[in-house]
Formats: sequence, structure tokens, C-alpha cells
Amino acid sequence: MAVVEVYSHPVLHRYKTSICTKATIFVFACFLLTFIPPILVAYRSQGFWQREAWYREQPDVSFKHQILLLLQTSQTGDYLVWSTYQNFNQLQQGRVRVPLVKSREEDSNRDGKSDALQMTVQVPLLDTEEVYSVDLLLFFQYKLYIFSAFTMECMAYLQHTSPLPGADLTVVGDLRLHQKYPLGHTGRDTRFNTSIIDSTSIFPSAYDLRTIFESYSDRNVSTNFQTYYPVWRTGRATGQPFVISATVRYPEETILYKPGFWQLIKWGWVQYISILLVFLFVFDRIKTFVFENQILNTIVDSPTKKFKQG
Amino acid sequence: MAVTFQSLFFFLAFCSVLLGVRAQTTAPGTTQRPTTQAVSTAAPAAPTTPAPATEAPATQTTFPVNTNVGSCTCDLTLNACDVNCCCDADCSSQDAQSFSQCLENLYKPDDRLCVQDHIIVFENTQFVSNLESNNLFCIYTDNYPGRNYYTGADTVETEQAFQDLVQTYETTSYSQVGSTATVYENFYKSGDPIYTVNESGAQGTLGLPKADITSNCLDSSVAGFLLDETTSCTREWNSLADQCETSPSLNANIYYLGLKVARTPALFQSTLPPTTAAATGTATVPTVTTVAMTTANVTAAVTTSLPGNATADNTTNLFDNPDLVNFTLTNITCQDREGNIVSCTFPAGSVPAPVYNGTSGLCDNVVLQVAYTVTHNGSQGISAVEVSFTLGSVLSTQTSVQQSFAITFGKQDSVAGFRRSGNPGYVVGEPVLAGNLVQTTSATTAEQLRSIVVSSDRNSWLSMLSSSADGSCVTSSTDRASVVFGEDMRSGCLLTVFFTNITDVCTLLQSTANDALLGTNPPTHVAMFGNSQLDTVGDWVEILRVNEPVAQTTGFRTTTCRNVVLGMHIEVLYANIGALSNPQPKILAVRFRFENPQDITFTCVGTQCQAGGPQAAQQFEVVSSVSFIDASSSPTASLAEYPTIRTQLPYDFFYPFQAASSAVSHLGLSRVVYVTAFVISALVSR
Repeated sequence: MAVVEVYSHPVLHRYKTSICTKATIFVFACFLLTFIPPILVAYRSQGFWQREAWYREQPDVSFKHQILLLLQTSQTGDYLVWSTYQNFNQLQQGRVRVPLVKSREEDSNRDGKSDALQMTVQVPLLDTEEVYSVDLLLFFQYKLYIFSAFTMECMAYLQHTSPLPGADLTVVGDLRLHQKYPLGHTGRDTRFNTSIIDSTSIFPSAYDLRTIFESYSDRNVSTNFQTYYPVWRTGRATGQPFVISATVRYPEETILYKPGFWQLIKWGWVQYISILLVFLFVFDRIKTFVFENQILNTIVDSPTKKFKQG
Repeated sequence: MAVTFQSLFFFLAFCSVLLGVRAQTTAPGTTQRPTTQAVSTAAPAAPTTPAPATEAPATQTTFPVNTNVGSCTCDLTLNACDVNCCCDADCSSQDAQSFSQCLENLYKPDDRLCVQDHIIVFENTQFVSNLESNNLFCIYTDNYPGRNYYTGADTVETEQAFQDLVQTYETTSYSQVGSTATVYENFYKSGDPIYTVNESGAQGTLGLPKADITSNCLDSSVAGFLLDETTSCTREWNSLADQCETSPSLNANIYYLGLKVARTPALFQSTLPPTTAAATGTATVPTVTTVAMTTANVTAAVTTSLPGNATADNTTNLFDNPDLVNFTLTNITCQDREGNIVSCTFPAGSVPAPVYNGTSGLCDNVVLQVAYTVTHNGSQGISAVEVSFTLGSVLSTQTSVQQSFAITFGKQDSVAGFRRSGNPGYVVGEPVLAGNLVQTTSATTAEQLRSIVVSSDRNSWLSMLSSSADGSCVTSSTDRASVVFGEDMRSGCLLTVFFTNITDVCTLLQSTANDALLGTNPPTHVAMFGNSQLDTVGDWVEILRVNEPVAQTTGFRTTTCRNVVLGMHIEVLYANIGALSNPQPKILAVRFRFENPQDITFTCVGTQCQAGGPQAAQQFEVVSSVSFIDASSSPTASLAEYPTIRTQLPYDFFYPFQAASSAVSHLGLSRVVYVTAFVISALVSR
């Protein structure tokens, strides 16, 4: 007659001893060796605590319609300026030349976030004036949402100098995020939501590019305008304005941030547990071997045969 | 717990055993296969060497398979010792002693080997162990040596074999620049160049000079059929006195005279001479050149072609072909130096060449604008070409002038169409359609008819101020900047006042500012859509005006003008309509918002006051801006509410647990949760 196994369950052996015995010390040592070394292994193999992490997000950038323009119109130091800051224009008086500015922010994929700024600045010039250098500051509001709600005022600096008198300048570039430190993982961050130029100031030093750049580069988070392809064309015809055409793209950025507590714990736990499993298995086999063979004497409480060993 | 780990271990161990077995069984296979391959690759090499032996015994140097053949690559000089070449047999032991190093091992050894055995062979130095490699393993014995040697470098004998190898291994090279021959179709397609024939019979294409690398005109730029285009570029000169009359690009005649346009390109299909004609010594071989407007060749051709035509040789000149269309000179506009249109002083029907006037220093009759109007009839080709010019005078102190070129194409027997700004929604970059409402009385029904009148110049529909070259305010309407849809704009100009007269000119100041802000004849209505009809007044919104200056500007003390309005902002409110995938912007409202009246006070700082005194000037900026505000409302998703699960039990289900005040007839969800938790905990603790 065929025998069929219909049910099975493991047999539980209990090994008992009093508190101050070798077996107790052995079990305690095994416990320590099982649970503490995985921490050490996980920690010493680097990367246990995830101190920083990355994510990608397209920033919500909007042009603030604030501009500061500086043109060198001779090689001996004549210049023309214009800005949207009335105090600055008041300071410069005779050197102000009001350009025709056209700007358009386009959202090409219609996701609600602008993807690029197209702008044209036409500076009317006298025939005697020739443009050798352009400095253009554009100001933006920059917002991130996914981790910390980050808001700042930032800047794009377009600059070109040529020994040849220009007719127009065309630049295409990206407004890139520049981080010195990771951002937080949560909360509102408005540390850098301060105006880059103190437009209330009546002193020229507030509008000095050196001052502006020094304080701006001091910030932990800022943007810079990266362009590799400026085109400077010569041959401005009589009576024609100098034209600056700029395309400032707002690309998706890789943003560095500090992970929060639970993210730290989660990754630490994952690493710890995966090493602990190996230790648990090894020490379980060791303990089974030791007690099964009675290398350390214990009272064996077995469900089938019960015996004592002194 | 232990049981699960044990079973896990056994599973892992089983897997590892399986893998190990696989590894062992595959290992001999891999060692076996390469040896046969090595033989098979060697096999085809064998017949190639005896093949030529049938004719001449030109033996080719052969190398044994799987050997390193470059045993001494530094031995480059025959019968002489190469410096630092230790393996050179011509070097004596004395030579070798003077060597500072041995150069023979310049090739890169396989760094995956545990022991670099070639070093033993060539240098006979100690074994070098691979200790620096970062790999966990290194190759101790290589049971497939053929892996390390090239195979199949057989000499190519036939063109076919060469071509096969080229096709297999070809990469890019400099030799692939190919020029496609010009194919003359039966009719023009849009974008095709328009072919022309010169009086001399030279064939070319109609040019449209364009700014290229610099703003200077590139004359070889061609016009495309059916592509309306307007270009502008700069002409420079060194001395206008010398070049005024000689420079071809300033002469209007160069742009049309002695030139005919081919009705269709089919003309050249038959008349293009065969290439052998050149060999027979025919005098006029039509050379294909772009009709460059300024090249000296073409001007020479224009001036000398008439006598040449008279003594035409036996081959008929292409210029006389009836399938060519003449240019028709339609309109000549003359400008004075300020850009005002004046009456021309020469008879109509021809264009005079530029003339330099030594006394006034002016170069008259310089071409400023060239406009071609091409009438076509579809695939029938071009039926007429009209050309019109704008001529002007240039002062000899100028070093450059801007020329503009335009080409427009019109269908034969059709009226000129009205160019919309969108259909129906506005297109970004197109001018905002604006005009004035007029009321007329119908002649037949005596009924009041309302319609909108817009300017014929689409760039002056809605405009804003722009400053002149020196930054001052311009009142002429021609220099105003056109407001195009979707583009935020800002511009301004400077009003200069002097301390002495500031209070006298307050009224003048305000009127100048107003003229600059509004221009002459500002529009009253703006079209909602880019294709709004002029007689459908309902499709037009009235422009709102806010803060319009009402108070009279008055002088105050001697330095202040009160209530001066120096700014106006045009705010266009628009919203997208239609499908989300195809939004059509519609203008909802337009507002002219004037800035608040302000007091402008003459102030001067420091040395300005002292130096200028009462003559000191101060500038005030008149500001105008345009902003487009998107008021589109996206569809709001209306979702059904989540279904709720009725978690109600009979009111006395938990009667024993309820408080004595049994006013609660229904159990709240939280109460149920508590009870469930209680039950579960009771079960677990059991």
C-alpha cells in the first residue's frame, strides 16, 4: 500500500540551561556577533547614510521684465546704458539710450511652464557710435516644487566683446542652475528670493557690475547663462539700430538635495537587512551545530525523547 | 525563521551547484571550438598563395598563423645599427652597452595576462607579474591563442573584391563630396530658383541680396519661386566720390536691365548645348553663373552686350528666345536725405545711374529699395515681372547705406489678398489688427452702417513709440514700432528740458509726450480674431482708456511742471479658445493705461549745476510698453465622488460596550476601527 505524506510540521527542540553557563555566554556572543557586524560592514563599505541625492525637475522660470544693458560705443570709454531701474537711469542721465525691447516666453510643450525666453533689444544709435561690447543682465524668478518649495530671483548675464564694431549679436543658451550646497528635501526655501540689484539705491555702486556679481556669486544657489554660440555680425548700416537677439532656454535640471530622515533610514535599513540575513543564516547553523552535538552542555527538551545531561 | 533561512540557503546552494556544473561543462566546449576555428581561418589563406603560382612564381612573403610577426620593429636601417634598438642584429655588444634603453617593446601588451610572457621571449628578463591591474582575475593560461592574432589580411586581386571590402569597412572620407547636376523641370515649383538669361546669353538665376555672415549684402543669394521675401543688407564703400558712379550695386539698372526671366525652366532643357559643343570651338558657350548684381563680369556684359548682339554668330542667342519674360519698370520713388518722398526729376520709363554731385557732396539716384513683383500662372510659369525702385541721395560722409530687397508673387488675374493675422485665432508674431470705427449712411436704404477702417500698412495698425537714433522722441508715425501678437514690448524716448525754459514748455512737453505715446490717429477698436471682418463690428472690441490725462499741465515755481503724464501701457487680455491641442488666441480686451500724472522737477547734481547753470539739460523718459496677459481658463475636471461604503451596524450590535447615554444610534467609523483592533489584539494574544 502506497504511503502518502498528508501533513508535516517541524519538531522544535528546546535547549535549556541556567543563566551563568558557557551556553548562555555563547548564545549571547552569537547574538552580538549576528547583529552588530552587519552594521559595521554596511557602514564601513561606504554609502550607508545617503547624505545627498538627485532628482530632475524643470524649473518654473518667469522673466521679471527687468533688464540692465550696457554698451561700449567706442574703444576709448564711451558707453550707453539703459535699465528698467529708474534710479539708475537718473544717475546716468545723458548716457541713457532707451531701446525697443521685445520679449516672449514660450511654452512649447504646453505643460504650463515656460521653456524659453525669446527677446530682442534694438538700441537706436547715431552713425558716429559703434558698438564694441555688450553686457546685458536679465532677471528671472526661479521656482522649484518637487522637494523643497524653492523660490529665488536669479540672473542671466549675456556678455560679448569684439574688436570689430557690431551690427547685431545673436546668442542662444541655457539658464543653468548652479548649486554650491544641496537643497532641503522639504519646506519653503526663500533664502535667495531677494533682489539682486537694490533698485531703491541712489548710489552708483549698487548698479556696478562688480558689486552685483560679487554678491550674486556669493549665493549658494544661483543661475548662470551658458552660451557657446554667440554670433557677432559686423556691418551696421547707417541709421540702423544695434540689435541683440537672445534665446534663453529653461532646461530641466538635475537638482542635488539632502534626503529626509525616512529616506535615510529606509536605505540604511535595506543595506543592514541584506547583510544581516547572511549573518543570521551562518550563526543559526553554528548554533544548531553546537547544540545538536551538545558541544556546550544544555538540557534538551525534545518532544520525542527527553533526556538530561548533567 | 531558521527553517526559511535554511531552505533559502539550500536553494542558493542548488543554484550555485547548477551554475558550477554548467561552467564546467561549457569550459571544454569553449576550448574545443576555437581550435577548429583557428584551422578554418587558416584554411582560406592557403589557396591564395598558390593561385598566382600558375603564371609567375611571384612569391609573397607569408607569415605563420598565430605568431607575433613584428619581432624587431625598431630595426629600421638596413645593415646598420639603430640606436637604442637592442634586438638589432647589426648592433655589436659594444653598441648595446652604450644604449640608454631598449625601444623594441613599443606595442601595448595584453594587460589581462597574469604573466607577460612576451617579455621572456624578446628581452629574456625576469617574468613580470600583472600586479597593477584592478581586475579580480587575470589570464593564467590562454587555451585559445588565436584570439590574440589578426586573421584574413589577404591581398585583393579584383575590383569586385575591393568593392566588397570597401562596402564592408567603409567609413566617411573626404572623397564623398558629390555635386548633383541641375535638372530643369517642366515648370517651377515653390522654392526653385528663377532662371534668367543675360543679354549676352549667359544663364543665371534671379538674385535677392541678403545679409549673411556680416550685415553686408551677399549678392549670390537667390530668390525662391513663390516665396515672398523681404531682405535688407548693407552696402559699404571706401570713398563715395569715387564709387558713386562706378559701384554697380548702387545702380538701379543692374537689377533689371539687360535681363530676362525664363517663363519655365523647360526653356533650358532644349537649349542647353551638349557638352561636345565646347570642343567644336563655338564662340558663345553659355556659362552658368548666378546673376550676381555687383560682380564686374555682369556689368561688363550689360554694357558691351549690344554690339555683341549685333554680330551674333550662327548659333541663336538665348536672349532672343520668345519664352523669356521682360522686366517691366513700374514705379520709381525718390527720397530726399531725410527719408521724405519727393518727386523725381527725371523722365519716367528709365532709371538714371547714380550721379555724384561734387559741390553738394551728394550721390544722387542711389538704389535704396528694389521690389520685384512676379506674376505667375501656376505650372504655366511666369507671365510678367515688374520691378520698382526707391532711389535716394547719400551724403559722401556716409560709409554705408542699407538697401532692402523684396520679391512678391501674385497669381495672374487675381486681386491682391488681404493678409490676415490669424485664422481664426491670432498667430504669434503677426500684427494686432486695429482700426477706427466709422459710421456711414447707406445710399440705398438710408441706414446707418458701421464698419472698421484699418490702415493699408499692417505694421501701423497698433503701434507704440520708439526713440530716434539719438534717443529723443519721434513724432513721425513711420518710425513707430508695430505691436505684434504675443510679444511683450517696452520702449521709450527721452524728453530733454533745460532749466531756463522748463515752466514755459510744460504744455509743449505734455503734448510731445502724448504724441509720442499715442501717435497720430490712434486706433479705437481691436479685432478679437486674426481674421475679423471689417464690417462685422461685433468682432471688434473697443480699446479702454484708463487714467487718460485730463488735468492741465501747469508750471509751478520755476523748476516744476505739474501733472505730466509720461507713460502709457498697452495691456492686451487674451484667452485661448477651441481644442486644447490647437489653441486659438482671442483678444478679450485691450486697455491703454496711462501712468499717473507726476510732477517733474528739474534737479541737477554737483558739477552739472555749476557747469551748465541755466543751460543745464535734464532728460525725462517717456515710457510705453505692451503686455499680453493670458487669461485662458483650462477645463476643470469634474469627477464623480468616491463611492462610500456604508459601515453601519445595527444600533445595538455593540450594546454592552456602549455608554449608558445611548443617544448614539449609529456607530461612527472610528468606533468600528477601535472594536476591530480590540478583536484582533484579543486573537493575537491568545
